[in-house]
Amino acid sequence: MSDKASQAWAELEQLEDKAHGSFAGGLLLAVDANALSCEPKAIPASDPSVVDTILDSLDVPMLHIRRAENPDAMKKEMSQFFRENAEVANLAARGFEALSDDAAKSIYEEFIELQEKAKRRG
Amino acid sequence: MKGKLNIRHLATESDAEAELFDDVAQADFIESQSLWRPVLWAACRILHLKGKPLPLYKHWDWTQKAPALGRLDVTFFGLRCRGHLQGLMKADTGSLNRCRLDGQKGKELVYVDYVETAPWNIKDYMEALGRQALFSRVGARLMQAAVTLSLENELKGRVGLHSLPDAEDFYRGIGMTPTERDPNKENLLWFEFTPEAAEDFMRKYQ
Repeated sequence: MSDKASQAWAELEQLEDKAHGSFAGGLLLAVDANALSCEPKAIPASDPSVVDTILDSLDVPMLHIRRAENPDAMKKEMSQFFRENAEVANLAARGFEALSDDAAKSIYEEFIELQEKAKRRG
Repeated sequence: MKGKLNIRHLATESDAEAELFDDVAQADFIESQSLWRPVLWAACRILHLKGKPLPLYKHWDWTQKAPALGRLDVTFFGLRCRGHLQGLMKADTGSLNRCRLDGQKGKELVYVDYVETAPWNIKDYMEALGRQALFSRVGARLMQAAVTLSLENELKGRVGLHSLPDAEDFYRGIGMTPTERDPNKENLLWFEFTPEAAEDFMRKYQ
């Protein structure tokens, strides 16, 4: 494939992503004429273990977080993370008791690692 | 219409062979409901928690489209890769919708009224779940199937549809022309392929 063709595909792939998987509304509105303007319904709950099983069975790769290369980039990423995950910042401020067991375990493991790193540094 | 085509495996940045098929069955809708929905809802809940705006129609149960199966003027396309359904499309050759663009106004077309890709192919959803998206180009390949259906029905590649808001840039990107917002379809923007634009689309994205 030529560079030009690859570039065209890359641009189209971005637009495809922006569509979030749903492209045409004809059928939706044929079944529910107010589907787009009606009050949003609650999003049904999904069992996280079922979702993980589905994604694992499809070999959907885990996201590898890119590590920041310098302190400025680290600060920027940390700021960005807490802006996007305000609930984590709120939890940290008022205590972690309300956290689900799985989330608490995951954060605690990170916390232990940070503590160990701090001890090594003295 | 059946055939092999390539979609893109994002993790390896390589082509992956997929199968396009037009004999979609109830089992495919059940698969989309049982595998796509839990993943989609899980991702949407996380995005909602983060305050990201979500389309209001994400709760919708697409199995309601099943009654159209078996109608001669309706073709359902599916795209399968590595054994799993990656996308679905409904294309109508007997629609009352007609071309609206000057120069081809009133002419028959293939009306696409449903296109959806599996949630694991959407970057935002997979990032919310700590994963990488799996495949790209599924939506584009399904639109190429719609153009091919139009050509097979001697409609010269003419295809029309009501775009959902998030997809408008995608349709502009593939060369469809926006005409007007349709007050009978919640003001969705009507897009249309002219024969020339359809030919360009097929040639540009092989």
